[in-house]
This record gives sequence, structure tokens and C-alpha cells, in this order.
Amino acid sequence: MILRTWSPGIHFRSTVFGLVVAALPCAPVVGAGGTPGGWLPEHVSVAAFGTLSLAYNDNRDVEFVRNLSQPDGARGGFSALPDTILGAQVSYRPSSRWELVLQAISKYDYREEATPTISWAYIGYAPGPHSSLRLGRIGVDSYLDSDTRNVGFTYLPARRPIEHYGLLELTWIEGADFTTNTEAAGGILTAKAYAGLAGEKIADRDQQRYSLKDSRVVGGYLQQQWGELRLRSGVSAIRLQREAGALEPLLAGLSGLGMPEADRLAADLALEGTWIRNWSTSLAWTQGPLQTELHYNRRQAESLGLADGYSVYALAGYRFGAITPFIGYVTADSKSSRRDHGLELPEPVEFLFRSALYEQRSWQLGARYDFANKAALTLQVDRVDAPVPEGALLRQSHPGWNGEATVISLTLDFVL
Amino acid sequence: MNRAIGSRHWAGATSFWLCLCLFLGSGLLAASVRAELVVIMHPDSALPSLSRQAIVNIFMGRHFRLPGGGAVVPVDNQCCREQFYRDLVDKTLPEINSYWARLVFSGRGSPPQKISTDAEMLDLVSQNPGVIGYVERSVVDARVTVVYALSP
Repeated sequence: MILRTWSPGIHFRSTVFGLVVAALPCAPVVGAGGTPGGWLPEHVSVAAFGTLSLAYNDNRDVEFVRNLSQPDGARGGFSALPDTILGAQVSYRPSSRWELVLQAISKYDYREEATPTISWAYIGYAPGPHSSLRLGRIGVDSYLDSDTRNVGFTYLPARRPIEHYGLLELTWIEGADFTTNTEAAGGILTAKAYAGLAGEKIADRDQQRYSLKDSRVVGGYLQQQWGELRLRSGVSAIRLQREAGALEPLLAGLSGLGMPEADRLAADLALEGTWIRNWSTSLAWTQGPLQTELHYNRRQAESLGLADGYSVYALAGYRFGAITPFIGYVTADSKSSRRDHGLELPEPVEFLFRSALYEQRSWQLGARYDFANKAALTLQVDRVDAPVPEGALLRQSHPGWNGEATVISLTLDFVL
Repeated sequence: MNRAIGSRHWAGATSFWLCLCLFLGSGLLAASVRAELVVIMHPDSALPSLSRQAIVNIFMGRHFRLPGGGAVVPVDNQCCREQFYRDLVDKTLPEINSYWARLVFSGRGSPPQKISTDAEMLDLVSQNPGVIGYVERSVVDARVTVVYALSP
């Protein structure tokens, strides 16, 4: 059994950041609006969130990760890497119309460390009580509640599943968004639009990093809320600005053949300048102790180097006293984008088509215990099944891995 | 001997059912003595009443307008906040805090400001026509108007 803790690569700053967050409850006053006489200036508020977690993966042949920004995670033992997260937010609201918000987050990512990063830094303006405009580094909610996917206290499971939420780690953009809502059809209709440039990096399956920096992002959604029922449908699109390093030798080789078919294939495989579009629809319903969610997402990629695919995620929980047992199921599947280009494709190209495919499904079974008003413990078992191990969304699988893994997670989620 | 055992069983069973009835009865009694909460506004709000859904929308940060179009600011009452959300949406305080954390950490809103006592709430509402709050019905006076009563 291997007990993995934070890696030595974690920067000193993350320790300091953690200490600052941990010290917040000891502060004399923490409250919205800055209580006169407290340690916060007037109109300034501080909030924080965190997840302390241990995940146990029974399989030694694969790394269990939370999302594709993580190069490794839990393998054949315990690890705190996938799910341990700390975040803090400082807001300055001089009036009901204006706000300045800064949010930092520390989580394990492609750098193989958890150095805090600025996830939000924006100025917000509310022309009225039902609309707002934000400018700066802002969160992106491509899927329902995906902008709070790192705040474990806000949802039942130990983590949002990689099969639905984790395929593209696009959590912020530098740009603007506009949100407005109004009463309509017996409920509340919300519309949101956003546009900007991405800046994050992901770790791909070959342990190489791919940068989304300067990639254009546009999107929006409509949400209708009737009582405790939310129905949301939207689209987000990203235009990849860079070529993947792993692809460049292959594309250069194809272009060097001097054949029109090979040139066309190279152009079709290239990522640079192509769009990925995500269409998503979600339904969330809560009634007293009952909580349910149903999500659908469809991905369409212009590049043949990426597969088109879809994911479906269902979650239900029911509270008994302070304990809420829950069950979830998620599946993600893709189809090959391979086309007939009039060429006998070399093995590297065939491999590329195969490796772009993904297929994985998971069951989540667990219980959340709200032992305090702002803290909860969650115990969860994930049963992961990848019918074709090469198409798994987990990392660094060994040859011969059977595509299955059982992961047991214990998380302590809190907000301050 | 058998009669003695049977007698002890009878006494044990009687005690069990008596305890169970007392336990359930005390629970029912506790539920029945929970105070009735009422939602209050300034008399100038000129609203005879509000619907339950309108109150849910206001206190859950979804819509801050009254049916007549006026803006409204919700304020939580610390002394009966847990019962208020139980009665209004059948949610516990951790669930309400989880809900607000989702809005706070996505930049979509802030929870209502909180005050500590019924007396403070009455003062606040009676002096601010745009504020909506809640108190126990027994403390309501002429300075405020009741726009909704929550069944305990």
C-alpha cells in the first residue's frame, strides 16, 4: 500500500496559501460587508472553500485522476492529489452596482504541483438588480454548475465526474460575460453570454502539455427555473490557437510527402485554428430532502485529430437526517473521425485516430454527512469501467490493464 | 414459573410501548409547539400578501422584485433561520449554505445579510420599505405588515 501525499514539487507558496486559508476561521471577524470594528475594511468580504481528500485506487495499472489537467493521481494506494483543493475569494463592493473580485485556487495540475493560481480577477457592474456585466478573468460555466466544480461543499459526490466535467479543463477566460434574468413562463428565465481568451494548460495522455493560451472562447446558455426545477441548455466553443506538440512531427511528415491527399490529411488532422463545440443540456430538480440531476453533453470537433463524442450523467440523493446517500452514473463515448483520404494510412496516423477515441463509464455510490453547517464528510465508491483500456480517461495505464478500477474516496469539504 | 416469565414479558412489552408512545408523543408535542413564523414588510409596501414561490425566489437570491415591480432586499433572522428554511423549502442549514456557496463561488450572488433578534428585525423592517424579513408571529406589532405565514 502506498500512501501518497502532496509531492515534493509543491511550491512553498502553496503551503503559505494553505496556512492563510486555514487561519481564516481564527480571524476575529469574517463576514460579508466588512463589519465595522472587524479586521476587514468596510465593503470588503472574504470567503474560502476547500476539500481535504484521500482517494484509494485498488488498481496498480492506472492512475486515477479528477480531470485531464492532472498528469497522475491515485495508483494502487492512497493519494491526496486528485481532490485536495483550497481556494479563497476576496470581494470589494463599494456599492450595489460595482464589485471587484479576486479568487485564487490551489489544486494539483499539469505542473505536477499545486501552486496557487488566480482563477478570477474581475470588475463587475450591475446596471439593475437582474443583470450584471463582468470584465476580466472570469469563471466559465460550460456545463451546469461547472464554475463551482472545485467547490466540493456545493454538491453531493466527492468530485464532479471526469467523464462529463473533466474532458476539457476550461475553468476561466479573460474576457467578459453578461447575465440577465426576468420572470417568464411562470418561472425565471436567465440568459448568459460570454466571450474571451483561454489561458490554461492540460496534460495529455502522452504526458505532454497542451496550452489553450490565447484560444478564443465564446458561449452562452438559457436557463429556465420553475420552483426547484432548473432546465438549462447552452453551447460553448473554443478555437484552438496552438498545435499539439505530439502532432507536429506527423503533420510535417505528411506535408513532406508532396501528395495532395497527404496535404489534405495533414490539414484535417491539425488542431490549430479549429473549433471544438460543446452542446449541453441539464435538468436539476430538488424537493425537500431529494436532489436529482441529469446532464447531457455533445462535443463536436472540426479537427480529425479529436473525436466527436457525448456524455450523460445522472445523480440522485435523498437526505435522512444529516446523512444523504447518493448514487450516480456517468458514461462518455466517442466515435472515430477517421475518413477515407485515398491513402493507405501509416500506423502513426492510425494510432492517432485510435488514441483520440475515449469510452468510459462509472458508477458513483456514496453518502454525505453534514456534520456542521458549513462542513461535510463524503465517503464514496467509484467503479470505473473502460471497455477499451486505451480509450480510458484515466492516466498512464500499463499494458495489460483490464480497463477497470475501484476508487474509494473520503473527502472533507468546507466553506468559510 | 412460566407465568412469572410471561408476566415479565408482558411488563417488558408494556414498558416498551409506553416508552415508544412517550417518545413519539414528545416529538409531536415538540413539533406542535414550534413557533409560527411570518414574513413581514413595511406597511407602505402596499402588498396584501405574497405567494410562497415569490418568497422562495427572493430569499434564495433568484429574483429581487415584488409582483408590483418594486425592488426588495431580503434579510435573515439568526434566531429562527433554521426553522424558516425548513418551513419554506424543507432544507437544512447545511443545504442552504451549500446552495449559497454555489452562488457565491460562481459570482452569482451573496446570501442575505443577517441580524440577530426579532426586535432588530422589527426595527429594520419598520424603518426600511424595501426590506423583507421574518419573525415569530407572537412578536409582530403595528409597525410591520405580515405578507405570508409559514406553517410550522
